[in-house]
Amino acid sequence: MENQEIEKKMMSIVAEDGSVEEVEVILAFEFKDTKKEYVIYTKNEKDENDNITVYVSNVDRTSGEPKLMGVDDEEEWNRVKDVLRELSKSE
Amino acid sequence: MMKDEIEYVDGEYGSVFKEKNSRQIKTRQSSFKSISSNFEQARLRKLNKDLEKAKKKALTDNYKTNSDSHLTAKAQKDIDKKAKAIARLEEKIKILSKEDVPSNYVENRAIKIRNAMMNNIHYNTRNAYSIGLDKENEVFEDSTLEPKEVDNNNESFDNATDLDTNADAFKNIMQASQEEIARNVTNMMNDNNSESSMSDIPVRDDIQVVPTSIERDEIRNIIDTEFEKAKNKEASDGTIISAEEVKNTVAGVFDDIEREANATKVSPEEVASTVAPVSDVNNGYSLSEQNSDNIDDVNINFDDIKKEIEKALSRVSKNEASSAKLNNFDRNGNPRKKYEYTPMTDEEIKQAQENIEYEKYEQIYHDNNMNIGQNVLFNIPNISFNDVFNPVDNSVIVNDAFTTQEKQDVPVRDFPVIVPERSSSNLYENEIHKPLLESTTGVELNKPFMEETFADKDVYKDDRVEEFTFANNDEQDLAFDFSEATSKDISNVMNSTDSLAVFNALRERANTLRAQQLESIRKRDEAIKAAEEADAKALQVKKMFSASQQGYEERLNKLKEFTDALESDCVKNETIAKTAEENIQCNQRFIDENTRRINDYNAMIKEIDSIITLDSVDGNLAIKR
Repeated sequence: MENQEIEKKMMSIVAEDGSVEEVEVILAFEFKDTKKEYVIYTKNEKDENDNITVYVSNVDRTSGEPKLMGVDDEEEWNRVKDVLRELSKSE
Repeated sequence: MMKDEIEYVDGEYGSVFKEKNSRQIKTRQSSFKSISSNFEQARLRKLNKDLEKAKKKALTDNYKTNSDSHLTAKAQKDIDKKAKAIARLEEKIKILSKEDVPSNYVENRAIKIRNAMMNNIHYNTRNAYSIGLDKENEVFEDSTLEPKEVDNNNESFDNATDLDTNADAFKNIMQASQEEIARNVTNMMNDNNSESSMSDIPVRDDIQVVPTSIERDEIRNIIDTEFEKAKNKEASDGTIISAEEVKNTVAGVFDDIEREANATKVSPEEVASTVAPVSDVNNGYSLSEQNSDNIDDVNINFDDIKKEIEKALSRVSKNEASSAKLNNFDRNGNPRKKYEYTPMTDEEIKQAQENIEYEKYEQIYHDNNMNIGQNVLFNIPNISFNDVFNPVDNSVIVNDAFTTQEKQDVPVRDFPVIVPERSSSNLYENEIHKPLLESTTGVELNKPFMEETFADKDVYKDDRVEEFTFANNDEQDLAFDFSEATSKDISNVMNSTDSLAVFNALRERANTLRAQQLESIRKRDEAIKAAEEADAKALQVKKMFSASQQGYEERLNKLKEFTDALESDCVKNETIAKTAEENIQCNQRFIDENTRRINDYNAMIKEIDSIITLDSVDGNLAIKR
């Protein structure tokens, strides 16, 4: 395995139209109670203020192959945001 | 805290399908870095945990070994796998820790770990060939990547001394030890007052003192050295070293080792004569009853013998090796004779070859009893070999220039010929294969072989021959000189025209008969086959016939039944019809009768009416006026 690949966790996202996009995973976790897994990834997109856009998806592994689902539940989404908020502060 | 509610996931994603759109968040650089860093730390922690687990497993797992304490192939594979896994984890940790990692880190580190593991397994038997947690530092501590050499050899050479292979030094050591041993043996044999005299220790005459493995190596080295010297000598000065010289050199080395010149020679016979034979070794060398009078009446056990041997050996220095004692005496105590090979000279070899060839090829022809062969049926005379190859005289008869006197000097040969009765022999049944007795020419000189064919018309008269010898024919000449004869000449002599013609004729007939036989067999087989086919066909037709016949009979029966039924029906109908007709007639008769009666009555009524009338008022009868 290349050092780059070990240092940065990469992921290939296949869209519905079949196009493939390489992204970098910056965080992956699951809630201990719900066992729901989330992945936060970035395409290294920066805006004019150097803010970096990150994407959050729920990972569904029930069918064997991992699939990226949206976070539809607001409560769930708030929880995820709280986690990110906390991790962004501590180091 | 939210951090306590989550568990980091460090899985591999690869290709992932996006079912629905993700939620987006914009983060500042610092927040982004913090999130990344937290995740990296979590990954590091997990990797370290995995590494610890892997190390512990590698140290505590049991690895199977063979009977010779070497790891099995499967165990080695297992170790390789574990070492590689550990190396990979270490690599990942280093990379995540932003350390420089060479490209071949995993391979080298895995080899190093593997070698360390294998080295430690050999010496760690406490945990059934696992490495043991106490060896962790030994196995995993050294972070350098140069792998150590694996020592797969189980032997420990710590105690091995580096013996000088100098032949002289070795000889001195051997000499001293030989002297010591010889002294001890002699003393033990001569000492009758000691507690353990030689007579108490049964000795077997075939026991030899054999050197240890190191000593054998020493001797081998000396011999090799001597040979090398000899070889080098040959290579350097061009002199050829004979086998004798080499032998002498080797013998000289062993002579130096032997101590017989300086020690008292103790032949096996002497030992045997003073010592009782051993009857049962396992029972501590107990003595046999036969020889119990010749020795001390002391019970000997194995411990005593062992003690004596140890005592004897203890007088020998530890670092001095005992040498090999060659047994140069045979069982009778006589010095062994060395086999001396003397090669055959060329003359001897040649003579031997000639003898072999003579015995193989020529001798048999000098056997007087050998006959070439006799075939009674073909009327070939029994010619002995000597008759043909040992002519009576050496006169060469090449033409008819011989005088009658010379011809008469030729001895008459009587061949024991058996001529079968013509009437009893099947061969002469058709009178075809009779030998041409009247025109026989006997032995002729250098005449080409004439093959005559027989035909039915060539039937000769049945003249019985009482005597049949070649000598009766004046034209014959038996003094045939074979010294210059060709193979054709010889074959002409050996095979007379008549017998060959007869043979050929008979062979021809045999072939013809054989062909006829084969033809008849073929025809017979064909006939049999045709008969079988006909039988099969007849059987088939018969079956068909019987089937059709059966069908016909069935139908016939049915028809019969039908006709019977019809007939009975007809009869019934007729009966009914008849009955009906009779009824009709009866009725008709009845009708007629009644009609007649009715008419009669009517007539009477009329007549009566004409006579009387019935008063309509009171219903009284009155006579009509």
